[in-house]
Amino acid sequence: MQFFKADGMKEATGYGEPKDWYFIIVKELLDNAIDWLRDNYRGSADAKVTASFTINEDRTQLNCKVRNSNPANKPVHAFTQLDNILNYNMTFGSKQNEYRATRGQLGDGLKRIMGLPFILMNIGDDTSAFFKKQWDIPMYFRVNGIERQAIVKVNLGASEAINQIAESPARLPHTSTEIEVTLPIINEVKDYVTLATIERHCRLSTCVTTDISFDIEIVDKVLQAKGYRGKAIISLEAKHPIPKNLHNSTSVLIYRPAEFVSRIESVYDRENTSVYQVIRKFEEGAQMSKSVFDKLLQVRDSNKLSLAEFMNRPDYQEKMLALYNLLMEEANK
Amino acid sequence: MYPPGYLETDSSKIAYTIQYGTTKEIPCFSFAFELIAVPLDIDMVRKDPMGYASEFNGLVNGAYSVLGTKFDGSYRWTRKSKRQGYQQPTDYADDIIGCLQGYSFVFYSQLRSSRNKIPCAILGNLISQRVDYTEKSKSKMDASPFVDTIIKAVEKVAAKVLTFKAIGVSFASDSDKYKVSSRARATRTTVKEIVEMMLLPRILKVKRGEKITTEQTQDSLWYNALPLFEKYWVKYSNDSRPWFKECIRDLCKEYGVAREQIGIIAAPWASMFFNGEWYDISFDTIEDLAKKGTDIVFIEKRDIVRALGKYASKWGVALVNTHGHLTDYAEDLAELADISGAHIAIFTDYDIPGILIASKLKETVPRLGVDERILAHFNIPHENTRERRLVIPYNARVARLTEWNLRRLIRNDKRFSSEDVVDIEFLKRNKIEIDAILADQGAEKLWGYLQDLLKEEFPNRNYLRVIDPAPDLSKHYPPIVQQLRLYYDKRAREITEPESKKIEEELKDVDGFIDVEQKEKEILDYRLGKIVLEDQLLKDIAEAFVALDRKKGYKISEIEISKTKTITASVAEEEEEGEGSEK
Repeated sequence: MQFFKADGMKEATGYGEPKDWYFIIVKELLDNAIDWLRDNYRGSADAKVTASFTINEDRTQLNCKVRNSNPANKPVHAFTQLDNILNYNMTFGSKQNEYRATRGQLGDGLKRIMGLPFILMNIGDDTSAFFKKQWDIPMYFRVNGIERQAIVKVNLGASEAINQIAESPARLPHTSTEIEVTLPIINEVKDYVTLATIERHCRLSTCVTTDISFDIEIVDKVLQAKGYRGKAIISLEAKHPIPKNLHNSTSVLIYRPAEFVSRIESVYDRENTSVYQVIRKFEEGAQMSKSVFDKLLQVRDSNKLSLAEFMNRPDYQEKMLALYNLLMEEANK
Repeated sequence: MYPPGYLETDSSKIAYTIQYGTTKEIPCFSFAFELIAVPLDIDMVRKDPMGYASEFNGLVNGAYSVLGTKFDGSYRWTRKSKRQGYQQPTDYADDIIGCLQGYSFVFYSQLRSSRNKIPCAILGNLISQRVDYTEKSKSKMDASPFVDTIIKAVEKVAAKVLTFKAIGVSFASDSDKYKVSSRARATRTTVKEIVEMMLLPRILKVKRGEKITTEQTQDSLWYNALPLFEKYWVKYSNDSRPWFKECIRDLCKEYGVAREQIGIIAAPWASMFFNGEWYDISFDTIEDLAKKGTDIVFIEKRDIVRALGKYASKWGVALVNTHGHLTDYAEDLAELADISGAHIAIFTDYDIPGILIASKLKETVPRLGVDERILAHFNIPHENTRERRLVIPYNARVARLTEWNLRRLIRNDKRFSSEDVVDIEFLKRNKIEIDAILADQGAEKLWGYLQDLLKEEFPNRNYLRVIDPAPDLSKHYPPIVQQLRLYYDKRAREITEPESKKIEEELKDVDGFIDVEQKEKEILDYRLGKIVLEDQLLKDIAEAFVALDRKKGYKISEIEISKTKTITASVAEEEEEGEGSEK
């Protein structure tokens, strides 16, 4: 239940004050969009992130909507597995133990985002344990032309969180990926969560990203109601395409031995992931002929040897060491 | 983030650098740190010099941490002093802000001095595959692998940012009183800064993995720079051109890119003679050439290289003709060859330019002559006799070196410092060219002398650089294997002859131009290649061999041919693609 408790949020993020949590969300949504584009649209000059952050008329809600382009309608696997991604009892990450120059930093980011409205609205309220106040505004996941909305009902007393995920029957007019979440603005942060501070965080999150275009709108309806402009726009054109060699495989040299083992063992779907698939994620593994690994692992085809099967072999530890040494040898050539 | 007019808009006053680093132990990885300092509007600062301070924001891979990243670590550095021999005390800091303060940036409303940097908005971005955070907020990290590189970046940026004094603000010491002069001191832009302005965008593009497709020479770049010199009030004359080129080279070296990578081409102006062949030394060939020869001797004249070449090749020694001076490529070759295990030496005329050329290579590179030792060895007198007229007067058209500098150079370089090697008094007015020694002694004798000297300097050598311990043995294969290849060649020629003739007719008289690469591919892969592929006789022979291989279990057909695609595969693939698109 750590995803629905203030202490859990503090523990996971290291940020003790609720005012900072809003900006974690702003940053995480932008970072995820940028990372996804860089993984999936290398070489593209048209990658774009469009976002809006809107403070409502009575400064009680902040609506965050971040969209990244996906003109080729590439399947966004993470969101077709929403049940897994939003499973509060397990860690489901595709990037764990990978060393890449990416931006997203928050582990289990979406679960944290999903749980934050509940945490915020119940801060300082001990009665929340009695299953009363729930956050009813869904979080929206719009991917590959399909909109899914998710609401979570939390019962802290029973240590229970139940997701209600629904798919809209109508298809979206676009194939971009969009996440929308609305957060309650609690009294103690009203002076901090402002148009200016959100703009500052958005600018800092985008200012050195030169391969993606940004169109970000920040609106404060309270200011607008008072006759002020109440709007900030960040419009940045990409200066060059996303580098083609970005996020290539990493060298084994970047891993300490324990991290190497963890990199291999932490694969989520061990049954359907072959040993060779994981080895190829290392720069050296991608360069070497598969037959070398077939020979070392004493199999006909290391691409057909699942990780689960490999880890059950009696010679597993010995072979892992041999694999590590082999890759290191190649790296040191 | 900043209101309009808050930051200085004159781009020449903005300082930017990107520095690269690599960790030395496991975990091993490379990283970069970029730092930009944008001064606050100078007029605004002049109006209220105590009212503003610098601000720093840290990013990791372009991402911002909500609490801010200060790259905590143990920073230690010693600032360079302009006063020679004066050692500045070591400075310490716990994070980048402390380091920036050490380099005179002002962050708080502290007392200031005229030498402080004017307030700036500073942004630092660490680009790294691996960052080990020490806190869950990911604001704090173990920055120790990056600290030295960050200090370098701070030093570079600090050197470019103006001081209060430079904008006309003088502070009284230890007080908040100041005086603002009516005019800010004009800031001078340097040739080096113009080079950075022109080339940094290209360098960064290359570093991102993109390619520069345009090409230009260093001299044409110089002409492109002239309007910028005018615009930024750079003091220059045509004599600044060599310095301009040196700045290009230094900048490329600093960022670890070759000039060619950023679209600057230079003609090969040095060549290597090895095993009877000449090789141009250029960006494309340098790495391969560095592996040739057990020893590489740099000689300033082509004819000498040619004359000595055949003797040198016999012993596996490569000779490089430097055309009178050491080009960048020759210097790079010497460096690379040294790293790859070759012995390097240089042989120049016995004159001041010859000494200067040799001094460009590091002191561990021996100079074989011409010097007092060779004169003594061949009994060549310092003065001409009736029979031997080897000494000629030295009259430099342009004095390359003052006498004081020449004496200093010779005294400080152990290769020349002994009077038994170089006689300064003789060199002031005389010279002896290598050609003269060659004429006097002949190539074989001269080479013999050089070889003995090389042996003395380097008793052992790595002949694996010259002799392949696992040479191609195909000439010893059974005749039928060679005959099979010859048979295939003969048959292929015969069956494609009519089509070849047709192609010959077509190419003789072409209307306009044709894309040569495309045409060659069409001829090789489609028109002729297809005939060979479809020839039944050749197929039958191949099938017979495959059947034999299968029967005997030699596994010949399991051997991978090469990484490049075979013609068969590429034609088949393209045909498949073609069919797909028609459907």
